[in-house]
Amino acid sequence: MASKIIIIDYGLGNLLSISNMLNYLNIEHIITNNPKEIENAHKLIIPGVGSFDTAIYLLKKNKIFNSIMKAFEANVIILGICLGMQIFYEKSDEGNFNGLGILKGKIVKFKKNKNLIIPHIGWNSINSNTISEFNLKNKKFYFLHSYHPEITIKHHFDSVKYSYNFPAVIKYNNVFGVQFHPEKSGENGMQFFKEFNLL
Amino acid sequence: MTFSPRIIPSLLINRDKLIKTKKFTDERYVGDILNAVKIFNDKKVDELLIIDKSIKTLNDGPNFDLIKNLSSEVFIPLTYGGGIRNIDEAYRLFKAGIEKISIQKTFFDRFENLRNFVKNFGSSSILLSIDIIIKNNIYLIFDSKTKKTLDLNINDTINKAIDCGVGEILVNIVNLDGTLKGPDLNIINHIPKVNIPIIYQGGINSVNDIIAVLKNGFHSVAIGSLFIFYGKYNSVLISYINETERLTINKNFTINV
Repeated sequence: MASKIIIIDYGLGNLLSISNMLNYLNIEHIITNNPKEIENAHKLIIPGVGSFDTAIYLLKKNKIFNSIMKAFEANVIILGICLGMQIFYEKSDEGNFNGLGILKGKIVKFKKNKNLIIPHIGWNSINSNTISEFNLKNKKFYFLHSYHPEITIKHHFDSVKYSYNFPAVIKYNNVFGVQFHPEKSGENGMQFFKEFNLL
Repeated sequence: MTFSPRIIPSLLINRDKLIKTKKFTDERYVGDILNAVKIFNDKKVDELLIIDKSIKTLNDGPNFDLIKNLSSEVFIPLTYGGGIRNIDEAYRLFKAGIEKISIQKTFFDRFENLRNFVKNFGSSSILLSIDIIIKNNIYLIFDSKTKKTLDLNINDTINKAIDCGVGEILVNIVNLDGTLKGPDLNIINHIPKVNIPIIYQGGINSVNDIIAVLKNGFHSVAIGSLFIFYGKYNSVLISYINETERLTINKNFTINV
């Protein structure tokens, strides 16, 4: 039986969009900012629309920062969406605060080339299939971001190309992250959450 | 690998009604906004832009109940604009399921406000919408609330917005609003060349118009009447580009990435 999912409400992010999609798929979940509940979750989703430092500030203010670390150490399956994934890293070019540091490396701004339009906004296809938990290759998802994880060899990733390939999906032990917004990616997003529910 | 331009239906609302204007006046009731949004969701549009122009919203801030209702019906990206006065209201909008907010007045009131929005929500979530009116071939920034032009230079304003960190700009031509007369391709000469997405809106009436605008230098298009009305009597019919039209657009214009 699939276990109950907690969507973390730390003050940033389109929580209700994620909740709406899970409701539509009949996937049981709750929304909470309670640190104890988060530590004891079976699965966590960390949403994120916002800036890096604001996210870290709010996670600490709401005493959720350490709860996520405890959940990670307790092997809870954690999914970070967009900014919610970026905070897994040690640092970000977007801000000054330290991230959770679960993943080594940092979040970097898109490398400029003369004609590249930044932010990367729109629908783009995943072009590899390393992370076997999800069936994402050649599927289009909605992206909305100016920063992305740097490529490191420390963890698995699947990529998307915008000027160059960068990690769009990452996996490290019990942690998963997506740079795109599955909750806004129509049927492909639904399929993604169905697969997440089965983990 | 190519990256497709976004084709964005642009919807105007007054309270819970979907409306459409012509040249920013002649407000016409079109139908129920919830119903329209559901149809666009089914048509798998790239993004949806919803602007609330009701007086109540401008005075009291966004209609959060309506926005929650709308976002709970769709699984597509939503941009909302209308009456966003401060950071707290923006937080509530994102929480309600909005990915991007469109701001205008709060920026023109005080440019630095934009910097504050970007600091909290990042560049990619903030869109600046600029209404432009053409008078005797002169391009001017228009204030839709007072119906007057603003004493602001278009180039300076856009550069200032980018300096403040805005992620995207929408340029809407007042003279062409609701006319289906075809786009104004001259506008590109009146705005600076920038490397953030710029969306064009105003007068688009066909796939060829869309291609012309994109070839002209815009990165995406926002479309009102063409996706809302049909036929010479302007009957209400919600529509979107089909797969063939999408292919035609992509064949004629791709963003090389």
